[in-house]
Amino acid sequence: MKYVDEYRSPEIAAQLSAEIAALADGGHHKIMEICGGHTHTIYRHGIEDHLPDGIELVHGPGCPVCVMPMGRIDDAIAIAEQPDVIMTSFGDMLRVPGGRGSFLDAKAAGCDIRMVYSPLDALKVARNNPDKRVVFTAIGFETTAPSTAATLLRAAAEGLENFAVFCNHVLVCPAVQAILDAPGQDLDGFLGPGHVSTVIGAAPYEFVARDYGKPLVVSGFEPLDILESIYRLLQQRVEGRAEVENQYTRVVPWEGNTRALEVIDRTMVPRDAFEWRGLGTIPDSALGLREEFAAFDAERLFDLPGAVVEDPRECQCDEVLTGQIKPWECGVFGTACTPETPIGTCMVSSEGACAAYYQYGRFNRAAATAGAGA
Amino acid sequence: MSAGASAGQTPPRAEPSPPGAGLGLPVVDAVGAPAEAGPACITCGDEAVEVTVLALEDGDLALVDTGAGRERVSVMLVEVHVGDRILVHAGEAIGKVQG
Repeated sequence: MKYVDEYRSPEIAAQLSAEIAALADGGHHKIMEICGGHTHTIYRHGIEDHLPDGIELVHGPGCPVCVMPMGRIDDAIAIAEQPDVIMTSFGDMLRVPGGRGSFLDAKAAGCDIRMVYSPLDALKVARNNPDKRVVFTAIGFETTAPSTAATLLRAAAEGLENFAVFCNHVLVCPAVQAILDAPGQDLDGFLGPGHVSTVIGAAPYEFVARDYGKPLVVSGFEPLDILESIYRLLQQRVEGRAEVENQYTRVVPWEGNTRALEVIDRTMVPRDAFEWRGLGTIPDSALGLREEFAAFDAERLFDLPGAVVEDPRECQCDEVLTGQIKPWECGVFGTACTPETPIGTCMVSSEGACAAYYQYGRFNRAAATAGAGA
Repeated sequence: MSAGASAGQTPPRAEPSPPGAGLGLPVVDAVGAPAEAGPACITCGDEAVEVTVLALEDGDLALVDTGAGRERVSVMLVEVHVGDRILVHAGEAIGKVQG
């Protein structure tokens, strides 16, 4: 892949790391990376080992699998259980536990549930199975919504009558605002999501700086991207500024992808409210299908239980998702809850803070535990 | 949110009615996955799945080189030319890589 060498240079990383340490000047800076992709990069490349002690990285809610409430999984399974339904979704969704088990459990019980890489693959399944009702469980932030929207337009243009979408697309800005409005919130700045911003641009985050006085830097996903973005955040703090900056200019235009925003707007409309795992119900934080696309809307075509399901008592995903505890501080982390048998959503996707920490962070955990005990 | 389209970014398109009409949308039957991103989450594409456009095809599709093989992706939302590097997410190109 292009850029791998340019953006992973150990020499430049060391230089940036030293400059960050100088800027941090022994102070404490609490920075949230909103996007699960950044969480993954931070653990995978050991970014925290290159930062001074005073910089605390807090993991945000930007993993769409992790914020899916259990009740929505149960709704999706209820659809899959209907006669002649083929349910399709992304691989990560198949393992997310709901109140009555996961998609994989439902598949084992006889439901026809298939993994796809793209909603267009789901469309293909619908074309190849005209006597079945094919439903795509759509999840994701504004990164994935354009793909679903474009697929809906293709389905409509083809006049496909056996294809529907169970829409669970969520919006990043209302979640950030909910975090900023939470009592006791003491964040000093944000790493803004990269690929979401390819679609929505950097401008929608301006409220973070303007209304809450916090700097936000839209960041790329390579190690040097993250380090440079942290450097820029600290620079703003030192200079007493709070602005939105775009570090990831090689793919993020300030205004976003207007054509993608347009197809989202043509097919979807914000819901009044949506329940997020860990964050509760947030107004205007998710997308549903527009009335014009009712014929493709699984929520209109099927009866859904729509129940609110409480998380398992031992699961502390809500505290992980809001940055109150580190993944390994959860009581079941790495013991009852592992990527193979996840109890909570944060352990499912590789973007989930717990799964990322489980995969890459065990050495650090051992060190932290030893340090605490010393 | 969508204000301020940059010149050349958004080509003119037919006024749609009913939904989906006017876009010249095709029947596609071979849209594959973007590059396998290893341990990356395909839901959110936590690593830039950057690919190179090899050929443009009918119906807003393109054949791309993922570095690991060739795939067919949708380019409905990005204006692309052969040789461009694009960012693909869930089978849909969502942005162009500059430089």
